[in-house]
Amino acid sequence: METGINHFIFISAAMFCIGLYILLTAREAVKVITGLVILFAASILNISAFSGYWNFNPEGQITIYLVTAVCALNILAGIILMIKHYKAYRSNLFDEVKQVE
Amino acid sequence: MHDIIIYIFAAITILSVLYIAFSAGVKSTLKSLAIFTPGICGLLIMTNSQLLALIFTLLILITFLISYILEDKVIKLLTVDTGTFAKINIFSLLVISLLTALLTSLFGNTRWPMADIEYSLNTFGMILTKYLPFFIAISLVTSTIIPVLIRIYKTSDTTS
Repeated sequence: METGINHFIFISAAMFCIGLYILLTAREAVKVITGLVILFAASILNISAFSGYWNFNPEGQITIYLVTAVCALNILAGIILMIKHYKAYRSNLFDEVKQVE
Repeated sequence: MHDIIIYIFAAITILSVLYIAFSAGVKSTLKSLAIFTPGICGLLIMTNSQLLALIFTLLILITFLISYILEDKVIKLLTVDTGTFAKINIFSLLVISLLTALLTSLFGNTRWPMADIEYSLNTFGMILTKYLPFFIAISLVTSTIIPVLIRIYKTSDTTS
């Protein structure tokens, strides 16, 4: 079976769904961040497939770098918030969510 | 040959992501993230995004190095291993997945208005002309988020 752009779309969709599952069911902070990385990787793969599968498309590549920069900064913000929350209250944010549940 | 390589990278990516989803513990998550990286980088190289694959690899490598150097502090701060899963609403997950599939198909079927760029004459100097709006957008977003991060860091120090 010859591969095409549909394969990349299917892989990115599968990655997105599994990443969403990890994000919703994670108990540890590391796993939440890993889920976020997988979600962003799925979106990057999708954009990359549309921008560069047939030929090199600079507009798509620039969009990818914009998305990557925003993703990295968002993940950094999340890590900083979690560390600060831990330092302030000496507890894990996800542990408190579990207690609320 | 090209098809087989794509299938191999896709299998590595999907299997490592599935292992992350159903594994318990931090170390197994990080190990499968290390397996996930070559898979996704191979797929990115297959779609002519070599530079992005390099950046992705470097980012993951730096993250692993930092977590290795500051292992005690990072692992203590970021992990609580309860070994149980939270209850999730499957219906909301299904709706979000369906909406994602719909959006993906819309992106695939839309004819995007292309910018007037002659790809054969694509030079680095065009960063200051044709690509300038994209870089202004990136610099605006970055200049907004970084001061907010610094402010969060400083204010939470004073509250604690």
